[in-house]
Amino acid sequence: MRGLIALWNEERALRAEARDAFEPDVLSCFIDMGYFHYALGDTLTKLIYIACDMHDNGLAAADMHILVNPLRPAAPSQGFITPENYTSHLANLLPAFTCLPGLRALHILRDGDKSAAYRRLLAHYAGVPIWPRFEDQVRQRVTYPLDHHAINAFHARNGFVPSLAAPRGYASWAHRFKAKMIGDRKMVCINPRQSRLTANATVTQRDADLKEWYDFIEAVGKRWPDIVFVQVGGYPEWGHRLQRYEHVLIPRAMGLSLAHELALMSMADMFMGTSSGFATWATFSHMPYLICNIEHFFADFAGVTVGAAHFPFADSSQNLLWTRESADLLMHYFCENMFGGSARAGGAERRRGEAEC
Amino acid sequence: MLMRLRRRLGVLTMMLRLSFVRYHGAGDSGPVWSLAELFGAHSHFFKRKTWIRRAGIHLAAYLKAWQFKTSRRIVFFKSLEFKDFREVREEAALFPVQLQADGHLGTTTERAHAFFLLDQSTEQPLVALETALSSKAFDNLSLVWTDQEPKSGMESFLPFAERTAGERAMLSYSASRRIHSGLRDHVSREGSASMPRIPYAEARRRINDLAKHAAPYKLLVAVALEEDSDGFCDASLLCYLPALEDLAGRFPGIAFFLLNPTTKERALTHSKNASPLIPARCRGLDVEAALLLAQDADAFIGTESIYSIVALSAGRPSLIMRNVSGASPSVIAKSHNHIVTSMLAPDTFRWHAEQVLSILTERPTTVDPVAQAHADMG
Repeated sequence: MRGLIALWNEERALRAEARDAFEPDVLSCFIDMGYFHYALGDTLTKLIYIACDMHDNGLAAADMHILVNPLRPAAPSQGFITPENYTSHLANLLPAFTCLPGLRALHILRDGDKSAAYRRLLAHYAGVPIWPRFEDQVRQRVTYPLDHHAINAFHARNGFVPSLAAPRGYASWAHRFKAKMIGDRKMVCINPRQSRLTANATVTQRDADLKEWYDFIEAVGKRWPDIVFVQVGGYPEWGHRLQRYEHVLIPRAMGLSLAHELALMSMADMFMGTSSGFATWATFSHMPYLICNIEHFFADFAGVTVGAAHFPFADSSQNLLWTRESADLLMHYFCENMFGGSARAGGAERRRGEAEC
Repeated sequence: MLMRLRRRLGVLTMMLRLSFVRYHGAGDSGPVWSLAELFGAHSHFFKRKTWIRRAGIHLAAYLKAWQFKTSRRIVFFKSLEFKDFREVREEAALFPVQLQADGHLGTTTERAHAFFLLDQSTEQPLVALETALSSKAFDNLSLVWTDQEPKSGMESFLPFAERTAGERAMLSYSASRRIHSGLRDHVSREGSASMPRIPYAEARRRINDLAKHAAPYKLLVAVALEEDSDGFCDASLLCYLPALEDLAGRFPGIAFFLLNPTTKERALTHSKNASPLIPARCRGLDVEAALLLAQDADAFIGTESIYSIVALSAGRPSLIMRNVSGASPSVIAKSHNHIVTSMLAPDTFRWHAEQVLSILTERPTTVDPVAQAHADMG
């Protein structure tokens, strides 16, 4: 009998704990890396799901919990991430989580299944909003690729889609860096995907044709000296030849990280690149972009038809290309966005650009 | 009736199987816990039996609370007033040493949960995580921006059974705010055996690749210079580069690796007279790898920073310059294989560095420029 009373008391304490630990107007997010992917694009898409959820429920802030079990740090499909090397992969992905507007706290919980599961249960116990649903977390249910259906529906309801911000704490750094290294010149971020140059090459059919990119970059350098390309992407993922161009800046070749790159992206005048993680950042921003070589199977997941010029929530300066890029195509979209339709281009520049194009 | 029973049994079998898989995959999750968790989640198989779901979740919560409160103790770190990422990075690295000195880590505490409480204006806060992730001292890490409601912070992570002890720890570290200056001085001069070694494979692979390509057959010396508020060492590099190039000329068997980010990478390497200094961060090494290189290089020379502390703790021969305001150039501490000085002019720096490097190469050194100047004056 005494045991039962003790149990009852502890249960009441747990309920009180749950009520005290969470606030009803803050979304508690639980990203379990045991079944979510270590992938920039997927992570950023998840953030938009979360941002939509926050808007729908009138929540202004979110607490992010990243759950990592060091003994089993990744999903079976990412077997190259092991207990010995997961910290490098995790450190490289963490900046992406800080792009969520309204982020209040970032917790990395890696004590097996203890405090993470405890806190998750407390949140469920307290009845506060959590993402993903408790049942989905426990059953570790997620399907890839992450689709845009919920985002498109949000756009249809509200007429806009939440956008990603620069990683928290890096915006002012980016301002200073841009002022020092780029000055008044225009900044175009590029990411010609090169998975084949990495240690774990995957989906190499999506990789860019570097020759076309080099031709395009050389042509722009000759015509417009006031354009600076900023190559974003992991250190192994860019071709050696890029280093030789004076008008190409490579943050990773200065010892910078993903956080710095995303902060610079937030200040760029345009993004051009292959369908991948950085393209996802551009997709959920207000910047003009060209995303090349989108795989046709993704059309269903994006809620568009193959060949669609834009995502449903994009504006006219945010373009999709469903084929491989060529130097001419890249130049066409570059001119259109930098000098043609973009509100960011001034009148004189536009006229000069139109004449030269 | 039989069909229904069969369906129920099927569900139970599946749940048992899943809990078994989870138990073996998760490492320290108990099978009862996993079963309870799954029982709660899969209870939609039991139509209208919401009490089964509730019971499962309650059982799971209770078991997990019990497991949580009996297994660990939590300690705290408060960095509320740190605006500068360099301070945050050093505090993050030194925190395990402080805990060890205070008798928390490795004795009463299994592992620790470090909280980094940040002001809204704290810049580049992720360096704290980059530094702390690579150490095994902390399993849980939190960045909490305190411009928001503080409830997302520490209290809610305290297991209720440990609340009293945890609150004591929290108060203690809130009050001290910074790592104790005596401890900092000691570690800066002597290193610390409790400074965590970085065990992870990925950083080691990158360093090995770089060293084999850029410096075959050579001894490795890590060089760290003072970083500006944006994280680059450009100004300091400009000052010390001639001295470092001179050292590289005198010691052809040694390769010098710069551990800080720099925007002068193109100037260092893409010129007719390419510098022998190898900018390691510009060759694909991240913070974790740079820390490991400081630990594993044959010697260290440069300014006092997280890199010098890591190198000292690993017992590497080192020359460390401390930024002591108003002090004239002088030796602060000296032992058989490391020298701590105040900030030195490039000439004096070169001479002291030679002393350290001669330990590696067993080569006679040149004359002390200060002593030479005195002799000349005499």
